[in-house]
Amino acid sequence: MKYGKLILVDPINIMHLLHKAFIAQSIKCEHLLTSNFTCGNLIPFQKAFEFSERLLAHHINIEDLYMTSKILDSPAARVNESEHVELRDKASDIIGLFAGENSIILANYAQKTILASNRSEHEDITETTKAILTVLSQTIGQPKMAKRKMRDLYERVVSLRFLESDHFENEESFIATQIAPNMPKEKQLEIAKHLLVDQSCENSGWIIEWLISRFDLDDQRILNNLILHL
Amino acid sequence: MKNNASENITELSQINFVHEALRTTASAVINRAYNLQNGDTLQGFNLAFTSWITILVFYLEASEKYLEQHLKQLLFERNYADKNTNNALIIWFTGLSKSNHDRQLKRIEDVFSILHIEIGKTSLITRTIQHLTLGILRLKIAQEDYLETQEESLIPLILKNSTPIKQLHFLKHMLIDQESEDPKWIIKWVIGQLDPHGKKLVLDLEKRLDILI
Repeated sequence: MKYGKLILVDPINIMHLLHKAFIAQSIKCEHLLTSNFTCGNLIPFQKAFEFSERLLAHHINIEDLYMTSKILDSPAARVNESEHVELRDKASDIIGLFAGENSIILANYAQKTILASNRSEHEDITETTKAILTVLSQTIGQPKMAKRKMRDLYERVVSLRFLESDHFENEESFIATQIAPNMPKEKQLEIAKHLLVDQSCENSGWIIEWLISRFDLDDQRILNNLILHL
Repeated sequence: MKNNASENITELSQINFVHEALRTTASAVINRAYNLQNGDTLQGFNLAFTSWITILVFYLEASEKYLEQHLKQLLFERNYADKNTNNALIIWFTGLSKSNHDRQLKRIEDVFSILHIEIGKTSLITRTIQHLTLGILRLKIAQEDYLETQEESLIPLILKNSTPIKQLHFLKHMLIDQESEDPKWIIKWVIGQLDPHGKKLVLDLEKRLDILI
């Protein structure tokens, strides 16, 4: 990527800085989860993760709409779009998991166990689940299930970060490199504007505000120089 | 487990030393994965991972064979609770054992498949390191779920319903590998992972196992 005096030669390359900030945000989420692991308090993580999900959703929606959909007959563009679907699904699974009640997780756990046992005499799964839940509540109990849920969440959060990282690397290697030499600068600026300014929101500058608060001085200058041209 | 109160330690609860050793090893392997850098090779990492898996697979198989067998026998002999609960317990243990076993083996296979592809390459890249780290993390979590379940339910139930001698017999199956040229390799490995107090307790246990008929 060419910065030349902290000015992006190709405006599309703002995606590198955005990706860097997203990964930093994902690492922050992981730390919030691990630092609250013992007390089981999900609220700090939940707030940070919901923000991450909002950022990611905006970013990939814009890329689908204004970037890859404009690149016709490109297998790389289609792969990019399918990776976006996977990212959306994984992020919404995580939100679903921390919204789930421990008692539901416990019941699901019991049912999975019954199914895995492959026994013929448990046609009445509901009845057996009830009996197992009684045993579980006397043995494992809710606090232990909460720890299990935290571990499951952590695994999913790390998995999402690695998926993001792989995807960003693919996008930078196969999409940005197609766009930079072939798309006029004005068109690239238009994509950059959509990525940075959320027109659907009352505070359309919320992404820029967040980036400025996260970027180091050099990256802030690059962003500010780009904004002057939007 | 309370290491500072040896008088409160029952025979069977010493299985927790194996758990402790497995956890320590898993943490060491995941830390190695987190510390891998671009350009590193996998040789040292592969050895550490294989060593962990050798113990884990032995423990999984021994648990499946002896722990559940022991519990089923207890439930049968003691008519531990009403028939319904007994039945539910057996279904739960069978399913739990199978699902945990399958889950861990699947995750072990996933890591090995990455290692086998990458081992011949001269240097690692970020993407491989991340895939490997995630594979190890998944396995560590599956192991933790399994060990926790044993500690919270299976082992207390067996403890409540069996004599110290029966517990020792059970431990002998779990800690002595009769099929190996060096039957005590598990005990030696466990001792190598423990603090001095834990080492002393396991060495004492080894002596009791030696005189067991």
